[in-house]
This record gives sequence, C-alpha cells and structure tokens, in this order.
Amino acid sequence: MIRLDKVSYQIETSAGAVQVLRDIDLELPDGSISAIVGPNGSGKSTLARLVSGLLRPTSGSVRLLPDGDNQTVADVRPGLDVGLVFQNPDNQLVATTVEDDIAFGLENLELPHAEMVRRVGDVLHLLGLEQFRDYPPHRLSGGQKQKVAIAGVLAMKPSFLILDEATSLLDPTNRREVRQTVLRLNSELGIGIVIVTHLLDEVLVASRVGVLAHGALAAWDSPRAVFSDPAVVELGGLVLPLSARASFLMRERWTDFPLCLTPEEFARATCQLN
Amino acid sequence: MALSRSFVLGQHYPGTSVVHRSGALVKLVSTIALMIGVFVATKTVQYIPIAVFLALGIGVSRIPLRFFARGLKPILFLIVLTVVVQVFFTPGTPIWQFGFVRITREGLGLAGFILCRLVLLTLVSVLLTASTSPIELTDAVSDLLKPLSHIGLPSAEIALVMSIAMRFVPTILEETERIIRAQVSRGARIGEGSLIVRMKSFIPILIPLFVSSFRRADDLAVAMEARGFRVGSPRTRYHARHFRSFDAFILLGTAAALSGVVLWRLFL
Repeated sequence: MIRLDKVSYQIETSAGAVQVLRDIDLELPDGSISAIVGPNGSGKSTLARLVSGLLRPTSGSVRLLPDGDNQTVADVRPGLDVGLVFQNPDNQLVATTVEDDIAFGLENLELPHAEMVRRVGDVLHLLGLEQFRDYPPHRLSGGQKQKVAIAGVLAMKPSFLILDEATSLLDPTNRREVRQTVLRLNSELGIGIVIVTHLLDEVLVASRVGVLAHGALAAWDSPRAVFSDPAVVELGGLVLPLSARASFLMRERWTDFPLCLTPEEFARATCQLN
Repeated sequence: MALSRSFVLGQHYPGTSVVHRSGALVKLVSTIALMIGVFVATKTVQYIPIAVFLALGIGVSRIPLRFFARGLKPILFLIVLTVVVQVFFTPGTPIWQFGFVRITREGLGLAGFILCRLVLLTLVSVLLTASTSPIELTDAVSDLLKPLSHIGLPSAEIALVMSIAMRFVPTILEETERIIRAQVSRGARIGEGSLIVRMKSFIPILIPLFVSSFRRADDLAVAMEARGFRVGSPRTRYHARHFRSFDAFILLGTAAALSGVVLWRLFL
C-alpha cells in the first residue's frame, strides 16, 4: 500500500512561493484501481510525481507499506515500486527500437543480461507487441507507442502503475485498447493502477476517485458517491459522463431516478420507469 | 516522412548476414582504420586493397547495391564540383584544349583520385551504419571512448546522447513537416523569393520547432528519471558483446588492407 500523510508541495517562483498541493491524505491499497481527477492546474500531475517518488513533498510523507504491515515503511522508488506513464508517448520512448526501449529501465536497474532478455520477452508477449520487437518508435501508431511505454515501465515489475493522462492524446480506438490492457494488468498481475485524467468515463472502473481542486483533495470516494455530490462536481469543475448528466435531467421529472454512470445502467433504469 | 526517407547515410538496413552479426566495436575500429588508410594513400592505385576489402564486405553483407548508391546521392554535388574543379583548373600537360578551357593529364588523375577518396569514405560509412543498429553503434562508441573516462570524459552519457539524438531524428523531421504544413496553410510562403526572403521564411518554422524540442527534452528527462535513470550511475547492457570468428576476419582483413596501402605507398 502507498500512504500519503499530510503531503504538501510548493514551488519557488520569481513571484514567490506557490502552494501546488496541500495536506493530501490518501491510501492506495495494493492491487486497487484508483483515479485522480480535477481541472487543469489543479495539481494532478504533481501528485502523480509525488506518488511515484519523482518529487519529494515539501512537508508530509509518501511511504510504501507492505500489505497488512503498518510498521515496515519505505520511501517509494521511481520505476521500481511505482511506474509512471505520461501523456505523450513520443516524449517518453528513449531507444531506437521497441525492444531496446523496454530494456532501458532494466539497464538502469543493473540487471544481468539473461534476466533482461527474459523480462523483455515476457512483456512483449504480455502486451502482444512481439511483432514490433525491432520496430523504431516512429513507425508505430499512438496506441502502440503508449503500449510500448507501458511495457517499458512494466518490465521493471512495479507494484503500481500511474497513468498520467496517458490516453488523452489517443483516438477512441487506441484509447479503448490501452484501457483494456491496463485493466488486464490489474486483474491478471494484481498491479495497482492510478488513473490521472480529466476524462471521467475512464474513472468508472476505479474503486476510489480523488477530486483535486485548488491543490486540495475535495473528495476521495467511490465514483458514484463523488458524482452524486453536486458540491464536489462544481468544485472540481467536473463534466460528468453523459449517462450521469442524463440521469440528473431525468430526476427533474422522476425524482427517484437513480444516478446512472454507464449507458447500460441508464437503459435499465429507463426500462424500469413504467 | 518524406524528409526522413531521403537520408541513407546513418540509416540501418536490418539483416542477418555475418557482417550484421559482427561486433559493432570491431566494425567501428575497422571503419576508422580504413578511413585512415584512404587518407594515407597518395595515388589512386593505392586504394585497391581497401576497395577490394570493402567490395567483399558489401557483397557478404547482402545489402542491395542501390542502398549504397542512394548513400552517395547527398554528396553527388560535392563529388561533381570537386571533379570539375580538378579537371579544369589543375595545371599540367594539356590533353584537350578549347580556348582558355583545357583538361590536363594531372587534372584527370587528381579528379579520379579525389573521386575515389570521397566514394570510398562514403561507402565505408554506409556499410558501417547500414549493418549496425544505432544502439549497437552507440555502445561501440561508448566502448571506444571508455579509456577516456579515466580523465573524466562521460563516455556512457555521450553514447546515450547519440542514441537519443538518433531516436528523435524521425520525430523531429515529422514535427518539421507538420509545422511547415501548418504555416503554409496560414499563408506562409516557404522557400520562395530571394535568398534573404527564403532564409527569413524559415524563422516561423525554426522557432516553434525549437520550442517543441525543448519541451520534448524536458518531458524525456522526467520519463528517463521515472525509469530509474541517474546521470553517472552504473548501468548494465541489454546487448551482450560476443567476439565471433568473423570479427577476427574483419580485423585481419582491415590490417591487411591498411598494410597493403602503406606498403604500396612506401615501396611501389
């Protein structure tokens, strides 16, 4: 589990200190799917970098706790404990071929050659990238590039994977493909997933959603609970999924109409009206 | 993509030949030695040992000859210019004259000599880069520079910088084409008018290109750090180095070609 205790982060600018995040308390259980949402500039990416160990909090702590053990704590190691996948796949692929790019993080871990070869082969197989092994990154589609970026992170065997707006530059088909890949990693390998996004359709798979507003955590609850709270929706500047917005419109006529998060739920609730 | 396809020099031509499978360091050392040999030669005929060895390498590599021909394309203008200057402006025994224009025996000889020099240098480089993947090549450069790390030269980092530069060449070229299209669609006239006007027309391309490149560099640095990279920290290598029997043949062949040039120059 990753625990954030009273985490604050500030940066120094020519105009003085700017508080980016303040007093964030979070617990990310192993194998869970969580999401962080919020408007641009709310501190989502900074929080992702703090959780991954890339940034150190100005105050508070980000600690890794083995499951069921609240005593043994350790600092989060970037890549090794938490893998971070960024928005633009073009800006995170380092090497001239897919295979070499996946091996980049393993070289940094100083792994023996045989172990690197095994891990590269494993993740290529796991993500269905075997036929692209020798491809240069610029010959891949956006979705394939993002899968290579995930593969590079995955090869380092992190306990958590943070996707920082990782699908926002992709078309709907590639977005769905990457999303399915990530869900498979969670269900098959038990990797904890943190989705940082402003696309609320993507957070419905999360067990908990955190809403960041003005550097503070406005809510940390299930998607249904978060989307049901008009104050949180307003504060976080959230544009709810279409089914949820339609549900609120239906409530103007049928006051007990449930909050539906997916088109399937909406169709079922509508059928039950009569 | 059109821009990125037009450069063969530096492009890898994937294959499974013995030349492809040979050690990158051996090939790099051989290339440097052959280039030195090209500069050591003082007469066209002295190039024969190098040319024979190079032809053998090209043949064994199974890389199509048209790939090498395309590699010569970018320096075609330089070759023609050099040959023309040597043919028409080298003093000596005239073999053809028309008014003040004359061709001398010495001019033809010198043009042939320089032509061979440029072609050999290019073909040796193309064979190296075509038969060696960029990552292997940068590893080889790192190995070659490693002794200098004792005097503080960051050889591994230099190799990584080279590798990243090669990785981003197609990306930057695509970005350039995108910016050109965007500027043209907004009425910019690229490459038209006088030299000064043409040079000025590239400013709206270069500025966004620089800005996006710096942003890319920033993002890449964070992404590398997120994957455990630390400047100066030790790293292992994904590509194992093996000394194969063909590596010995390359080294022996290079030594023979270089010795041939030197002996020819000294005694014949």
